Amino acid sequence: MLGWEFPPVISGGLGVACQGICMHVAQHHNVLIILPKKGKGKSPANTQILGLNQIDLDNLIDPGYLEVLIPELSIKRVEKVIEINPYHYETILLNEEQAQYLVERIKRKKIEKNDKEPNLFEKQDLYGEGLVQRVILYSKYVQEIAETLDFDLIHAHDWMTFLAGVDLKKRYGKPLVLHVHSLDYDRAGAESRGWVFELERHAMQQADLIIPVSHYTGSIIQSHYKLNPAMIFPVHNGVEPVKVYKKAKKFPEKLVLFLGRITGQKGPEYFLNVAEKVYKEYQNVRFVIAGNGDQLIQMIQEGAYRQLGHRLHFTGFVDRKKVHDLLAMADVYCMPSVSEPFGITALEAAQFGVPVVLSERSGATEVLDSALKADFWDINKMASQIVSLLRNETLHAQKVKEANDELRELTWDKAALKIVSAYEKVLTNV
Amino acid sequence: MHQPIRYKTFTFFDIGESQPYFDDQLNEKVLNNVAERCYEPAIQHTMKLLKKFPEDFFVSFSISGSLLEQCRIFRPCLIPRLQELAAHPNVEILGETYYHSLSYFYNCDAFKKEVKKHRESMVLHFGKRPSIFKNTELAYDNWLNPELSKMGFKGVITEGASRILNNRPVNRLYGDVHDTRMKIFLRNRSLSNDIGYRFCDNRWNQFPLHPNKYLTWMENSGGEILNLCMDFEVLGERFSSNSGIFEFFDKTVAGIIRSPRMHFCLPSEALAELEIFDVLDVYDPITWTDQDNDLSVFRGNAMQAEALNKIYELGKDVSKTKSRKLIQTWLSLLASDHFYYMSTKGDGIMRNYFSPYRSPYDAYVYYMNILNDLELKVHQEDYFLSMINGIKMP
Repeated sequence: MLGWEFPPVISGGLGVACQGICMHVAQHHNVLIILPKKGKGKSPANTQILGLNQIDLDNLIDPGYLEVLIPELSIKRVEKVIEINPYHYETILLNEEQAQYLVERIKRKKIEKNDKEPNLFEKQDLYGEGLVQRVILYSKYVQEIAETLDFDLIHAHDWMTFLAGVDLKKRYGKPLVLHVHSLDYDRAGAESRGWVFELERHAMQQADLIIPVSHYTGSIIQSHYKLNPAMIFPVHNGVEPVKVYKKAKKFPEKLVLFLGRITGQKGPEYFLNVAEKVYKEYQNVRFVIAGNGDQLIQMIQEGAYRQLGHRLHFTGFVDRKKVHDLLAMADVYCMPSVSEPFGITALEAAQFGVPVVLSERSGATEVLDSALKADFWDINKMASQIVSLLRNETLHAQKVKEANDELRELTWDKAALKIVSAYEKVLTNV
Repeated sequence: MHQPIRYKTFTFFDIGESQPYFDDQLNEKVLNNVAERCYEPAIQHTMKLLKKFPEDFFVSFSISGSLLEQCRIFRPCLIPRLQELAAHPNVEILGETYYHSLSYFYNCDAFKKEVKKHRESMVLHFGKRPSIFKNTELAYDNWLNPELSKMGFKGVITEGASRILNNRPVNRLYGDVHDTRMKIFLRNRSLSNDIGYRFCDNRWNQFPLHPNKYLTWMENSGGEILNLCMDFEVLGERFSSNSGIFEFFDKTVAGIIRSPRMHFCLPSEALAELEIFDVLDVYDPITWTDQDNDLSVFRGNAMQAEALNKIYELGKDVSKTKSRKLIQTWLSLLASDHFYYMSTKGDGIMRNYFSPYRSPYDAYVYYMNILNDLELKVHQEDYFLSMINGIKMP
C-alpha cells in the first residue's frame, strides 16, 4: 500500500482510515505500507510500515530508469506547484521558465543529491511547503524500494500517492487499486481543473479499480472526472470502536457542535447562518466551532457581526482528547459540508450518542440513514431540524438509538472483506 | 501612568471551570519590567528636577487605579515612591476612570462609580483630591462636562483635534458650549507627539530631536497655554534610556525655565488665571488616538462592538448580585485596552507593541469566553439570591 498519513502522524480523517484499512486487510493478505513519514509508536499487528524518514535513502540502489508521469500532464497550467496545500488554493501560475525547470528536475533519472535531504520527510506538516516536491520524491523512492520487494497488487490512497502508484504499475505490471478518500473536487469545488485534478484523473484512467469511500464520491468520479462506472467500486469506511463517555457541561445551555477544518469545503458559513436562525427560535443553546482553517478569522468576525458573541465559541485546533470531550458534551452535531466524501466525524458523533444533522452531499448520509439531512444551503431546514432535536427529547433519543443500530453494521472487518473481494476481482482480470 | 490588568488565554474548555481570568504571571512580569525601565528611574528623575527647581517646575499626573492595584500586589516598593512624587506641592493629580475604561460612552452609572472610586483612591494614597479630569484616551464630547460638573470637577483635558478647532488656536483655554464655567484644556497634538511618538523615529525628517530645536518650536507655537500630554511610559519604556530621552527631558525642562517667554504652571492654577478664548462644540466623540482622533481603534470593528455591547449589557445583572467580587471583576473587564487588542485598524504595529495576544481575533475569542464565564457566575449568584430571598423567616 501507498499512504501519506498514518497515526500518529495525521492531519485529518485520511490517516485514521488508512490505519483501519491496513489493519483489517492484513488479516487476509500480507500488507506493507510505504509512508513519507512514520511516527513513533508500535506498528499494528500483521502490517509492515516503512517510513521514508526512517530508511537510509543513500544506500538505495538506483534503478537507473524511471517512468515519469508528470510531463504527460499539461504542466504549464500547474498552479502554485511549489507550495500546493491541498486545502488552500491560491492560483499562482508558474511562468514558462519555472515550469520548464520543474519538468527538467522531474525528468532527471538520478536523484539529485540535495533531493536526498531526509528532512524533507521529517517536516512537521505533511502538507506544508514543498508538498509537490515531496510527492515526486516519494514516487522516486518508492520505485527504488519496490526493486527489493515482492508484491502482487498496488493499493494507493489519495492523490499524493497516485503518482507513485501509476509508476509502479508501469514498471512492474502489477494491478493498481486507487482508494479515493477525498478529491480535488471536494476541496476546490466544481471549478476544480488544476494540476491535482489532472493528476487524479490521469491516475484513475490508468487504474484497474477505483475504490471511493462513498457512492457520493463515486458519482463525482463518474460525472466530474468522466470515469467508466464499471471501474468504480465504493466501500464505506468502518469506524473504530472508541471509549464513549459523557461529560457534564459546565453551563446550563445545550450545545450544538461544528467540527472540522474552517474552510469552504466544510461549510462553516452555513453553520453560522444556521446558528443565528436556531438562536432566534431557541435561546437556551450555545454553539461551538471547533477547528482551524483559512476561514476562521472571517467566521469570528461574522459571528461578532451577528451579535452571537455570547453564544458562539471558537476553540481553534483541537486534539483527539478535546474532540472527544466536545462530542461528550454536545447535544447536536451539525455537518453542513459543501462536499464531503465520507465525514468520519459524523460517525464519531453518532458513537458518542450525539444526533447528527448532515449535508446531503456527504458520504456519511449513505451509512447513517437515520440522520436528519438537508442541502447545505437550506438554512431554514437545517435550523428547524436542529431546533426539533433540541426541543424534542423523544426525537433526540430516537435518533441516537437508530444511529446506534446503524453503527453496528459499520465495521472495518466488513469494509476489509469488500476490499479483499475487489482485489480478487482485479487479480482475476489480469 | 497606566497598566491594564491583562486577561488570560481563556479557552472554551475553561468556561465554568473556575479558572482565573487575569494573567498574574504576565501582569507581574510586565509591571516589573516597566517599573525597572521606566517608573522607578523616571520618578527619580522627576523628583530630582522638582528638587532642583522648586519654584519653577510643575507637573501633573494621571495614575490609573488598575496600575495602583497591581503595584500593591506585584511591586509594593513602588507605592512609596509614587506617594513621594504625588505629595510634592508642585505636582497635581488628575481625575480619571479607575479602570481606564470607556464607560462614559456606554454606562453612565459605571462611569460615575469608576471616577468616584478613582478619586477616593487618590485621596487615600496621595492625600490629593483631583479637580481636573482626564478621560480615558482623552475621550470627550459635549455631554461629559455636565457629569463632571456634578461631581465637582472644574475642568477637563482633551485632544486639540483640528476638526473641533476649526482653525482656532490650540494653545488657548476653552469653555464648554453649554456651561462656560467648565474649562477645557487642549493637548497640543503635534508637539506632544513629537516626543511621545516621533522621538526615536529615524525616518522623521526632524530626527534627531534636539532640545534647542524643540524649545524654539514651543516658543513659536503661540497662544497662552501649551499642554504637553503623553504616556509616562515614554520615559525609558517606549524609548529606552539609551535613546537619550532622559537627557532630552532634563534639558527641555531647564530650557523652558530659562526661557523668558514660558513658564510651567499646574492646570488648576491656569484655570484660575486664564480667560476662556471661545467655546468648543464637540458632537462626535474625540480622543487622542491615531490620525482619526476618534474611538475607531476601540470600537471600529464588529468584534469590538460585540464585546463592548455584551460586557456593558451584563452590567445590570452584575450590579443586581451586589457581590463586590463580581462587580470588581466586571469593572476590570471594562478597561479600554482589552478592546484595543481587538483592533484590526491600520497596520497593527502599535497594537502588536501593546497586545499580549497573537492576533486581534485571539484577543476577542478569549475575552468573550471570559465574558461568558462571568455571565454564568452572575446567573448562579442570581439563582442563590432568589433562593435566599424565597426563604421565609419564621
